[in-house]
Amino acid sequence: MIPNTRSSLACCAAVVCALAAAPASAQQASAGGDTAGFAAIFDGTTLQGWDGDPAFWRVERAAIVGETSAATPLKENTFLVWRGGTTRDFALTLQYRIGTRNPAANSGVQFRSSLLPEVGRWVMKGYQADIDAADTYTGQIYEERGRGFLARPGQVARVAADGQIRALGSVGTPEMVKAFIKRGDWNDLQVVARGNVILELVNGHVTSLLVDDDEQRSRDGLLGLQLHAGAPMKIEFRNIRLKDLSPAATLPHADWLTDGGNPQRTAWQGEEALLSTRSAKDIRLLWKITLDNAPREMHSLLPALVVGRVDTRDGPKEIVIVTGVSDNLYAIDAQRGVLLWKKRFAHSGVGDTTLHSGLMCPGGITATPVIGPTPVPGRYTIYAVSWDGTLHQVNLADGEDVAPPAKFMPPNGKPYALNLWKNAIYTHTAQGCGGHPNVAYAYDLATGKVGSWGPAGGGMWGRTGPAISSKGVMYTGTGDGPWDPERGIYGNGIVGIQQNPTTQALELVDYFAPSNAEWLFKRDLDMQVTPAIFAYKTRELMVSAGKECRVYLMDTESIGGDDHRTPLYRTPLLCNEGLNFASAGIWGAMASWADANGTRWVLAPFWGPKHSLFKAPLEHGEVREGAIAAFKLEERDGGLQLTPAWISRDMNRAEPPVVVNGVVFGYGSGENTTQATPELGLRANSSEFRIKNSTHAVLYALDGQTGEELWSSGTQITSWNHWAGLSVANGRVYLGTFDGTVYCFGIGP
Amino acid sequence: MRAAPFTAVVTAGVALVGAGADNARAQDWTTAGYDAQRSSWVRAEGKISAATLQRPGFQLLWKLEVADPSTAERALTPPVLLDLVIGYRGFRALAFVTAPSDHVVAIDTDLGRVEWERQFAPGAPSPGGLPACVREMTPNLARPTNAALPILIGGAGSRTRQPARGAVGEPGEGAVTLAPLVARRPEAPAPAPPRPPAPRPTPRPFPMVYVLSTDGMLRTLNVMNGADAEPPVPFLPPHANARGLIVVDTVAYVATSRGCGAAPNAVWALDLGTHQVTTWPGRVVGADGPAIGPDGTIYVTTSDGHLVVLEPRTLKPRATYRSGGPAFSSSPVIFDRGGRLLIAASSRDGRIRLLDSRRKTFVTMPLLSQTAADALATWADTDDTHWLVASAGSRGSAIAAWKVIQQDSVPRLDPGWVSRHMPAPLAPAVVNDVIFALSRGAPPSSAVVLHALDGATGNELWNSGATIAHVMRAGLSAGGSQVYVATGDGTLYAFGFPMEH
Repeated sequence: MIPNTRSSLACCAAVVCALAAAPASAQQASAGGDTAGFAAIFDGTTLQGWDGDPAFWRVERAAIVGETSAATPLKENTFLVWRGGTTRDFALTLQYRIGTRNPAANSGVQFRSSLLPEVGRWVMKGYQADIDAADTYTGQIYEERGRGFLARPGQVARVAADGQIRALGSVGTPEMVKAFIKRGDWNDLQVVARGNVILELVNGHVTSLLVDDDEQRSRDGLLGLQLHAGAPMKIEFRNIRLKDLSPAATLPHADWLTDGGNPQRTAWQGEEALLSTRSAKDIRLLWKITLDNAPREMHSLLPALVVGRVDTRDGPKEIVIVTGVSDNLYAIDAQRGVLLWKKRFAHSGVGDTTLHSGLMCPGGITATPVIGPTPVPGRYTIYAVSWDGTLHQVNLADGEDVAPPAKFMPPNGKPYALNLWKNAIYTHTAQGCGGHPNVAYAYDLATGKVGSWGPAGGGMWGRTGPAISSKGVMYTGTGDGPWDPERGIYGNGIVGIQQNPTTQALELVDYFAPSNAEWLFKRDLDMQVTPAIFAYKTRELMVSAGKECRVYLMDTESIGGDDHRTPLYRTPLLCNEGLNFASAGIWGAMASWADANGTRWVLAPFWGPKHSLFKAPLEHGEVREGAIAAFKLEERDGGLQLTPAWISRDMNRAEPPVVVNGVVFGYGSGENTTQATPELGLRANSSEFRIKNSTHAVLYALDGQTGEELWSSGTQITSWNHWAGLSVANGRVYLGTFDGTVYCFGIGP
Repeated sequence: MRAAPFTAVVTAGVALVGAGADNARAQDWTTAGYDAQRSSWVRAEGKISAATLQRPGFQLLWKLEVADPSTAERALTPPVLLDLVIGYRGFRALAFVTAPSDHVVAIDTDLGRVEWERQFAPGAPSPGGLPACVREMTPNLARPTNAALPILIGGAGSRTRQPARGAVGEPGEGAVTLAPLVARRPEAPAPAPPRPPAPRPTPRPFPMVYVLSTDGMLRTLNVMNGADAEPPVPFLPPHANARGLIVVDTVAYVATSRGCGAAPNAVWALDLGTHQVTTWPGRVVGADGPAIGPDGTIYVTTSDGHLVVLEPRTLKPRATYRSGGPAFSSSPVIFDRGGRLLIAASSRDGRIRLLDSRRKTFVTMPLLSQTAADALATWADTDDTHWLVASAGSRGSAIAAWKVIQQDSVPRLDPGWVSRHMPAPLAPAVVNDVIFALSRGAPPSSAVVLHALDGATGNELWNSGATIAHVMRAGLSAGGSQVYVATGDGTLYAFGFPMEH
């Protein structure tokens, strides 16, 4: 037993005990003892979840074996990398046995490490719990390909902010440490890391402790097992278990990184544990915050984005990013509902910022940004297109630029929600705002080249931007325009556009128009809804719709068949019996999800009364102002069809729903959508008129199987919104309103 | 939401219902004879052409019984059209017709269903005058009409577009759509603030249709719902026989004849701003009433063989041209030929007389066939050859066409073609290069038949067979790729190429 005689040691131990509940009485914890919260990361029989050179790694008798021989020497250290996650704040337990035939044999356990692909595929850099056959280094904390020795066996050490390493005290001499180790036999190894404190134990005895205040230290990273270069050696590991000790580990780590939830725009949050049909009744307003964003025309706040765990200076946080039309980005602490930072983009290049283009062209930011992970776990980049058409890359943790702003598109346009796919930012524009053509864009982050393609149709105004298939094809409705593909005109259809990997140009790869596209154009019933793309058995399917109020089912292999006019299935009209262009039809975006039975569901929000001929087995009252219609994807007569399942209760302008754990969240925006009145004609389509006649939004939780209302926000939301949207992650649903308020509803403590 | 590049369309739409509400688009049939010049020629129309009618597909799209079948008099006026209105119910293409008893109906021309209807003057005094007046008191309809010569705007709705295209910008330079912006930035002075527009009356935010009801009131209706946009304004004495209501530059014009009601035979003008009524007395002939030149000048033909030119709004006579022949039988038709204005009309002697506005003398065509039509039509082919078309032949048994030829700066009419035999043909309408005409069908059916003739040859391209019931007093109008036949039994027929809804 290592005596804890030094005050510094006591201090550090206290710190560790406070931070890491696991081996608080660290002096005699056993790898096989307390297993609460620990998860086995080695299955005992295969290397599933691990990645290493198969020439050196194998499984044998329930242990991972790394071995070199004279015939297979190693020129440099190689590692077996665990691909199941990262090690940020954690407790690790395992057993190891190192062969003693080669006294110089060396190994170790990497944590918070990263790969060096430029050196080799299985080469790691970072913290290491050291192991060697001679037990000279076993028990120490080392940094592979970095700062080297940090806390030697028996040492308590600190790395200062400037990188200087100093011994603070000792938990014993190296010889004492060595005495605890069973040479040539199985030993228990434990590593506990939380924040800047790292503790190592062998066979239940603290062998080293490190306080690392180096600003350059790694805070998160990969776990791996080392096989050292040199003479032939053998190392074995078994019973490898890991426990996440992050503060944020108490939260589910679901994200909502892009409008519509994912690049396919299914609006389905698949990583939710808190919200369910059972818990929905307990939803309440957790917080709301009013931001200082100035609305422009009817636009105010864009849909929120959520990252479950962001590494910030103050530790990990769940952060909500809300975009305000007046060139503002806001970061909000998801748990507390307080503002973390705000960034306002400069828009001097915009020129005239006064409102004079009508409500369809408000100026400002109109595209919901997209968030992408970085190579460093816990760090994220926000990609946003500001009012002046510039692409910004912003650190989610602090709002600082991580790359210089870059030219993307003309200012004063109206791009829709950004999508991120394989290092390119996709969007499309509509309404000809700023006098610019309506085109699809792809910004290639590697080359800085921007591809564009215009359908010569109408504007592409699917609310949640383009949907992207597994093959990287972006799909969008082409809005109000004629359909004449022989003349290269693709209005009132859906186009599939793909980035040429060589030239970065956008190229048309597929297209479809309903057989009645001419009629849709004549009556302004355009195809404009963001599609949803999903896998179904061996196929990838897509659903989309338009103001006419039908849903189209397509196969992304060929969305319109040989004649580009034949979808897999077309529903009857759900609504818009009166052929209205303004306050009826399907607007915004589709949604799709699969239940536990594997049934695939498709959801369509619509405005206005239900069509008198459209029926569903489950209906929830008269629909006058709008509703959500749910369909099941079914195989009938050798084909696929969308079978009506339920129609929700009446909602005042039902907006695109999101789905989480069997609960469908929808909302009526309360927006006045009138564009013409008998008395005012199209002058009614003004912000002044419509704002005055808008009411307030209502959020609903519906049973995804039946459409039954489980909960509603009632009158808690006091304002309305225009082209906002729902976001959901980690037990919370977010919605912004015209008055600049972000509402967070959810299951609270 | 109609979105740009439909900004242009929206703008057009807004203009249509806003500032431009007084100037209907060229392709709309806004008054008798289509336009101010009474050409009856619908040009730059999307689908109908001699080529397309040689293929199958042109057919009856719908028919709608508009008038009350229990009434004795049910004749409809040929519809006045509105190809696009962005209304509170949605985008609509509308036809407006009137039936006796001051029944006004707006019809969705895509679906053949009534959008709205109104009935006026239930307490109008009983008619007087000649017995024929009883049949002639069908109200008039018109939409605001631009006096300018219609412009050929490119067919297919003039929605000319560049084909789809892709491009890629240079690294770091953004999209190619930035290039025009960058190019015009250097040294470009800040654009001057727009000058405030000259004061003008606030235009109405919706299009209007004018109805001249039997009680002599001019009614201004909102096309969206038929509601009064303004209080009715007295225009004519009750029960006048009015022909050719047209509204140009905020003045409504109409001609009265037969002395019906208490109305003298005259040309009438109503200033829609001041509500002042002006008349020019005269025995005006022709089914379409006054024709109006591109400068707003009024042209009328009279029963004493004169072509009278009147000043806009005041109706003060500017000139009178004696044809040298008997009474005219048709309203004038005005067209431009090489920059000079030509005015043509048919006389009771079966001749067409043509006035060259520069020479101010009539050219009279030799008698080739009996052409005492009450209306002519004119059109120009792709070689810019102008044609005149009218019912012709002995007792009116065919449609005949003449080419307008310039020889030594003197216009003349050369015979073009004479159609197949058509009993009792009515005034034709032209759509692009297709002549549509109605005739009584061959016995025993005696149905009214709509014929489509090749404008260049007169060959029949298509006919409606026995589709239209046996009625007379039918009339034609066309627009939006459809041809309408309004019949004496109160039914409106729409012909065209089907569109999937």
